[in-house]
Amino acid sequence: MSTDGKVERRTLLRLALAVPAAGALASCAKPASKAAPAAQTGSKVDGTKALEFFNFDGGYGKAWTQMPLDLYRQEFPKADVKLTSGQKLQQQLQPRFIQGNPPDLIENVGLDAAALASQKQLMDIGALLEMESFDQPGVKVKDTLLPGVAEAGRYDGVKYEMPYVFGVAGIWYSQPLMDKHGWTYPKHWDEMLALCAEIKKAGIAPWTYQGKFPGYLTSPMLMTAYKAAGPDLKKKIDNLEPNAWRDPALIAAAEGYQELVSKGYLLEGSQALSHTQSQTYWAQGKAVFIPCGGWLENELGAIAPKDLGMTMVPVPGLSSADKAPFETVTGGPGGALIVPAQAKNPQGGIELLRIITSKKCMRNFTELTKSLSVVKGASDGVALSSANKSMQKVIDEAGTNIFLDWSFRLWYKKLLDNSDKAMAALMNREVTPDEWSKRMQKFADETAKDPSIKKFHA
Amino acid sequence: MHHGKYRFVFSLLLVPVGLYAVFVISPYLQAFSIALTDWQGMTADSHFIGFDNFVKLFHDPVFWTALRHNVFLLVSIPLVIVSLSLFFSAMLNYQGGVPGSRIYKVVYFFPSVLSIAVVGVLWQFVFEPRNGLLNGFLQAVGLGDLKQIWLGDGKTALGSIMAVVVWGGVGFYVVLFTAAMSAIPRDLYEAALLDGAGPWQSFWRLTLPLIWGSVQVAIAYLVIGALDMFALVQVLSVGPGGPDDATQVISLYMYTNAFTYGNFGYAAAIGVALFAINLILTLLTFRLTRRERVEY
Amino acid sequence: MATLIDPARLRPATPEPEPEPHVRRTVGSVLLGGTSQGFVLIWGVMVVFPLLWALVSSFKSDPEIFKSPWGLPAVWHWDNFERAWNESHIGTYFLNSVIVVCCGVVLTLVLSSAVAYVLARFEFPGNRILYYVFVGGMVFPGFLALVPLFFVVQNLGLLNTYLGLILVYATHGMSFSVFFLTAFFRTQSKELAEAALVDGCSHWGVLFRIMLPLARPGLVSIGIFQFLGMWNEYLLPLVLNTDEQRYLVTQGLANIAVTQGYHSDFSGLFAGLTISILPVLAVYLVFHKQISTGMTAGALK
Repeated sequence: MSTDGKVERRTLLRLALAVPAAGALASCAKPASKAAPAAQTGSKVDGTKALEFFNFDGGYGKAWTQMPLDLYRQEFPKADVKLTSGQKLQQQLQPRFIQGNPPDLIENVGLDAAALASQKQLMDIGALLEMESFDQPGVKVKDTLLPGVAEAGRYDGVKYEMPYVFGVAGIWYSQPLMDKHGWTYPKHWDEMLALCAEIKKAGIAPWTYQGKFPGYLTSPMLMTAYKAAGPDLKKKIDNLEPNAWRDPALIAAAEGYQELVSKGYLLEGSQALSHTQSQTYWAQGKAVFIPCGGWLENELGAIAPKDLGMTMVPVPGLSSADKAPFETVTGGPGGALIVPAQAKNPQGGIELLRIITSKKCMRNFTELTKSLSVVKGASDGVALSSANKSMQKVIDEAGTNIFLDWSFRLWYKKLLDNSDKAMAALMNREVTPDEWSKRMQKFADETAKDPSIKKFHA
Repeated sequence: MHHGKYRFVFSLLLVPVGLYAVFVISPYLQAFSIALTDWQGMTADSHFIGFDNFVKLFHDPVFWTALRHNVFLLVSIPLVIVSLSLFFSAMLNYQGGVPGSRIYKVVYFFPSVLSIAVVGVLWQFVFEPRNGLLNGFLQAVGLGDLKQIWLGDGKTALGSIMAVVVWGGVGFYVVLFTAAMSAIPRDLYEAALLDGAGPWQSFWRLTLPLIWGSVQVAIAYLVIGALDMFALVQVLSVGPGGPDDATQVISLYMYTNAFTYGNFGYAAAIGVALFAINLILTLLTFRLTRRERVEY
Repeated sequence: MATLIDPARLRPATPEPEPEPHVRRTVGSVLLGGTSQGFVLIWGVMVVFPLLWALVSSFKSDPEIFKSPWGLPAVWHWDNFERAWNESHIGTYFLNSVIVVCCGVVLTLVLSSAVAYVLARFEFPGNRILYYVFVGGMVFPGFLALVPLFFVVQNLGLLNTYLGLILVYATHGMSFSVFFLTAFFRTQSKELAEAALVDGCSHWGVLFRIMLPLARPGLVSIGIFQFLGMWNEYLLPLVLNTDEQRYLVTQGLANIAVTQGYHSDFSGLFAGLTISILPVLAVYLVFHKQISTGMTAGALK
């Protein structure tokens, strides 16, 4: 009854991501020979073989898997199609990987895909993109997908993961609450602090965050720094360059966020609140802003008041001297379906993937989970909530100013973990912003020096 | 005679030791050998790297932080739990005990039947800084100034988790100690009373020495428990293990290395170190408590 | 029970006369009076209150849990239980847990008492080593052996079977049981066993007719330890028992806890907690006499 399944999902979906575009386009030409053994992509599906789909029974539940599995059964009536599910994938599937008997398709939350890919445990599913769409005759799968989806989920250029949700991460507020007080959302951090002072006077806490999982706040803080310093910063950080974390923009952002605490702008006790607790207080109007990904609405469930009018906006930049536009957001395709290289029926797994990425299955997914999917037009006609509408607006306005996540968070789990620890120390005022940056630099240097950690490059 | 004895010994041991070897020893031995490899956990692929993991461990500051926390816990938890339990058992037992002592004995045991995960989830709501039971209580009795973020603050987090262990543990030992005390013949107390001993003397000179065996078992058990702490820390703490390693313990660090960092070889090395520490401490506890016992 | 006390251990404990017995007694009486009773009561409240609070909370609506954490629910929401029950499948999993845990406890008692008896009573080469091998198992962190254990169980074809779980539970319970029972058997009178042997009783006869009946209280108390531990075990079934038909109660509970994390269903979580607490508490209330008797035996080693 531990919470770490949750934590792992946090890590993965934190920015609706889970999908490093490691040198996505550049290395497409690389042959897949280094990838999975016996890939034989494109070979026919053996309809008599059994098929097992392992579903992560968490955020999106398992109801959505019913339709694609039924469609597979219709297509191959002789196949024994089985759905298994769980929440602690690492513990449940690790022995099966070692034993060489993993499921044929996995909704992956918790397994380290980068490690699996580097250990050649994943099937190259690149061929799927060239196949004909399941319910749009004459159209290739890749042409039914939203921009960036085909490129996402690649490690050293090889397509291993198929995302299925499409989302962004940002700051949430309640539109009616903002309107009632006549507040407008600021674009820079100094304005944010000024607004916070005003909000505090009104007797409401300006901010809260999911303190039990400090990474929720690292994302917006890094984003503020990104906007100040421009895309170069991300590249330097992701490539573990010397002194990357000593960048003045990062220290300035850390100062800005620490002021939320030192000026009393944080909902009292936030540092100890779990994600559901802090989000509940936010939904009850105890705090105005909370950072979160697109799943917030689904996660709040019935606890959200009907008139909440939840609205997502991009993270504020630092100042008017910012080098990247305010509209920049992290997001894009997220979630990861993977086919293990040693699966007994990998072709069946890929076929099920083709079914899942059909327009009608993804539409069904959106209806059941209130989450946008990766297929173009799949949510047309589905009544979207205010939350989804605001997310759509954020995506549209971002245009090309959208990136999946800081890659170091996907490539180097220990560095990610250490960045969360440092964030907690910063928000507990146990370190100064400068000490924070020194500490992060030390962690990054350790990662760079450790020969046992496989390095990727942005 | 001797021949019969050995045949008897052998036939009694055969099945239990066989099963134990298969289901316990062999997996642990494998875990030991994993500590000498760089195994990442997802394939059978691994390389022998000698004692590299142990060298790395020796220079790992997080490991030492975790160890320090464990040492703090294994001193303080047995001390607090045993003292409280002895106090309550004495109260519940002395001269028939305080009024309602039978009910207390039943009620005190309640936390012991709860799974550690249930206890963890429950205490999450006790420590919740805004509407939690603890801060709410402090507010209600006019001690609002003492309100804390508890698990969110590095200064109070470890102590908070320790409090949960104490809450969950005292009842069991109260029942254990009262059981032991009630088995002490009454006339011994009467004799002591005649000799002019007050309740304190009879407790220190009579009760405690007579139930020392139970106390010893309790200490050993609590020391081992204090070296674990995994489930509670994982459910309750920020991070988990935080904030900023403030509640990091060895078992959690091992778990994180195995299941989050995908470093099974290193995790196994931490496990081996933990095993060694466990073993030394258990033996030490017995040595120390045994010596004290001789003094009486 | 009194017969088990070694008189030699009592003698030095007899207190010597104190210089000022009256003063001392007064201090003691005061301590035994109001203040101490107060502490005893406070602890009782501290134990019961969170449980009662969880019980009451399980009938509340989600907003109520946050808005009036201390109050009673306006409407008693029985539907929370319905939801928790359905999500956790506790009904289905309860029987699985009963089968696995009961068999596991019995088996571990049988295996451990055999080992403990031999270790306590017979000198033979390797006695000490064997003892430490068993006791050592007690101090090894369990989840590190999970993956190797998985393969052991799998090679025996026992994955997802009751037998597999029972054997694993029983063997993993042996360390502590052997440790405990060995100490217990050591305290038992040697003379009795020797007299019986002289009377022509076989070793088996001594074990079954004399030693085991004498050890019954010790077995009961270790059985309680083991029952509580096995009932609450979570990691082992997670890995060794992935067939939903055979899930145990702890696995069902984990489902609620994780699901709660995705749907902010606090009331459902409390209902789930209550469902998981009540049966165990009921069993305890029925058997609490036996439990404390069992402990008495265990205590007097």
